[in-house]
Amino acid sequence: MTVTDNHTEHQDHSGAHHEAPEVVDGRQRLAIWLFIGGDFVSMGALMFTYLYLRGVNTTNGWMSIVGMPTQGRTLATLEAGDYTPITNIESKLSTSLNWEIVLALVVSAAILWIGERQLRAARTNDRSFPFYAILASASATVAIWLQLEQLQRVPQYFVSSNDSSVLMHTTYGSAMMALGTSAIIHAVILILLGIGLTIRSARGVISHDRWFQVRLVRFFWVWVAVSSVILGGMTTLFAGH
Amino acid sequence: MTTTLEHLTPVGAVPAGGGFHRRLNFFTALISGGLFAFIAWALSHHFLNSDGRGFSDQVTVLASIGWVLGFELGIGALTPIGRWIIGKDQVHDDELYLAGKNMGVRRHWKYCTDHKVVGVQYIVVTAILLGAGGILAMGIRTNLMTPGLHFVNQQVYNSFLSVHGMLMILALIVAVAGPWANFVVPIMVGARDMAFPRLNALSLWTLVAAIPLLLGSLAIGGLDMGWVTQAPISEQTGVGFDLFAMAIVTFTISTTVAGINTICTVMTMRTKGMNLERLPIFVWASVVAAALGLYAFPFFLVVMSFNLADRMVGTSFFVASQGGTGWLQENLFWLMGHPEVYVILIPAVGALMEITTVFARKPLFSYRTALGSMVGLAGLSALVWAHHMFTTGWAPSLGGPFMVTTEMISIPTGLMFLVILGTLWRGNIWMRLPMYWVFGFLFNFIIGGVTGIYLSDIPVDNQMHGTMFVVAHFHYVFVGSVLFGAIGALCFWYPKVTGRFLDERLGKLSFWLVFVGVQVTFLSMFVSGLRGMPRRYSSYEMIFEHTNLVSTIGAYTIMAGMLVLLGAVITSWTGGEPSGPNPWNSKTLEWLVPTPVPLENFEVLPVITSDPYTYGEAQ
Repeated sequence: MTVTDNHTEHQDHSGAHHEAPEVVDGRQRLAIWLFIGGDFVSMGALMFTYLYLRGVNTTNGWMSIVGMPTQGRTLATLEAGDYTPITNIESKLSTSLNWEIVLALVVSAAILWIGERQLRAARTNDRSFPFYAILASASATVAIWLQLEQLQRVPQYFVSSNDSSVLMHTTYGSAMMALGTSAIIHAVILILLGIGLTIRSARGVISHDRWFQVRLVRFFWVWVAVSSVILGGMTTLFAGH
Repeated sequence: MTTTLEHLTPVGAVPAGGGFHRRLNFFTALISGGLFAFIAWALSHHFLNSDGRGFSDQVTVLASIGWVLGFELGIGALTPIGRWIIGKDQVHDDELYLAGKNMGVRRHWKYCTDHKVVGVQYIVVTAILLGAGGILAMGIRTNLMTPGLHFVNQQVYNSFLSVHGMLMILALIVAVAGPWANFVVPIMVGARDMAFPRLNALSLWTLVAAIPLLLGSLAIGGLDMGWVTQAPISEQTGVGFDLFAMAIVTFTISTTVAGINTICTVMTMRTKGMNLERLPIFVWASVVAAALGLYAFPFFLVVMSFNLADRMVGTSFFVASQGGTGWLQENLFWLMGHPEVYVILIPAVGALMEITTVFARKPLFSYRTALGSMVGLAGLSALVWAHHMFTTGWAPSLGGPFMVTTEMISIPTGLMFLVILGTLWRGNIWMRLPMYWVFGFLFNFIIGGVTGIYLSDIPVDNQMHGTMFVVAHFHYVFVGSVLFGAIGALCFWYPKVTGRFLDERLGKLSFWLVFVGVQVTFLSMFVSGLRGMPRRYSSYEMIFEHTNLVSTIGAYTIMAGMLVLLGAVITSWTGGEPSGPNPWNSKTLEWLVPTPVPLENFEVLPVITSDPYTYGEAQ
């Protein structure tokens, strides 16, 4: 390998810690796309799980289970009284609530995107961006709240197992819990990022001429919204067996 | 020498920055991790229903989350994230401090962002993982020395088997990519550091946080299953599994961060003239392995999370009686499991190709074939996972297609082999220590590879699956090939890390002990398998006595060789023969910078005007 020295670069301080913001931004953009790529694989694994369990429907257990619903019962009361297992046909989780969660995430992404456009279009320091960032975070918080509501509706059953009773969920319920938990984790990340953007823009670290990090965050935010639409569509179209 | 960072602080002075980080190191991380784990344990005892399902699993998982968070806080890995959120980015002096300038050996115990320090830390971590996994391997082999020996009881034996498998897999994933993608890749591409130095340190310390979890699984009752965490056994085994799974979850976060960093470094930080066709082949190997890891490891995360959810909160992903299926677990696991083999193998082969060009004094034979074989291998590896499930009864109609894709994978594998052979052909071979490991690799890889082709055939697999034949096959790949690649890389780049040669005499003794040990251990294991000895058993019939005794003797020989190597590494670090900056007369960039490599690597960034392997050409 033949090399020559490049003294101009040294004078320009082009080392890793002294690079132009555009160079650093390009690198960070690649990183965020790679991260989204990894997240895409995770989403693929969750979708595979949902569709696979629905497809195989082992022991007809996608939406039904042999056991007792837990409403109004604890393990103690169950063991004290009658235990006559019944097969419960579990109703689907609320589709409308699912789409409300999706809507909250899509709205939050749209708010951030609009805020970013305003910021980039501004000729002087635009003080409105913190408002957009906090609003987007609030919308993501609503998504979490709705998702927690949805998770609480996943029915649990007392199921007889090895001479004792344990709490179980159907495979549909299990898959929905996985998707819901994943949505909550993503929304928590969005909220942290949103709070970060709010504080940073309020402190002037983010401004009309320093908006690169907002775009990076927006990439991820939009991805979370898009993935929620895909998963919402899947769980709506392919719920019952 | 003056670099862009160094000229800003007085020579010899520790930078003024650092802030909170000045008080943090490995020991504060241990204390903080322990404290957070205890708090999580106490809180979960207080708030969770102790009569509820999976209570002990929930407590164990929450305590391990506490441990990881506490450890990361205690080492300072989360400080930059916190400071970003509150809008107080680290200033230049902080970065200088974190880079470990003028801090001497102390920086190796801290959250240090210098990629060379992280590389050395990875060497130590790999050695710990290999050492721990090796000790367990000796326990297993001792138990199998004679039938019915019961050196350890069956519960302990099963736990040894599981943790040995996972420790070694993790060790080999990081054995080449960890130390050398960190230490040499940024220099090879003409960069001053990794793309994201703080994330680099974060990935290292996240890996460190995972190790106690994995080893701790042995201390809290162990786990009755293999390293593949097969359901429903993984649903029924003790709480040791919870730590085991949390270690893997933590590990996947570490490797994802590390993989993104490696790709970004190579794709965006190359110096002028370092176009993609001038990249040293090891750099390509690191990028391909990192990209493959980004695809594979999310499956690892998901399958372990499902296992934990089944145990903790009553989901039924893998519980067949409640609608789930063990096949889902197997599919998710092997969607990760087979690509992971190539995440391990490709960097090792890339390092051996690098060594071969230098010591054969020839350009790499067919650079594009080498690169194409790596990319082809990565692509095909995603399409072969179900060959691990031929005997499970899953989708028999897909057996044929998966058999074909598995056999096809031998094509790029064979091409990689031919690239090394072609480079050696008519080369002026300089038989120094790293070359021994190249030849050892070639010998072992043939055996590991060809037996893999046998096993890809469904009729043969039906006979051999679940026998010691399979164990011998993958040990020829992992120990005989990958470990040889990792040690070859260590011998090759050791002078760049330490400024001294690795003791050649002890190194060669180590090579012969390990090489002979591998043949003795695993050839006789092939015989055990061909005779029908099942794997994972803690005792066996008399018919397998002799081959098992021979295998155990071989395993002790490998251990002796590895101890000799460890001795050579330790004694040569300070007492070895000085090597100078470029002892092998190599032409890639890492050898053209001084040793020890200064902070930020280059006084001035070089401009590349030719290919990396111009050996034998007029200058």
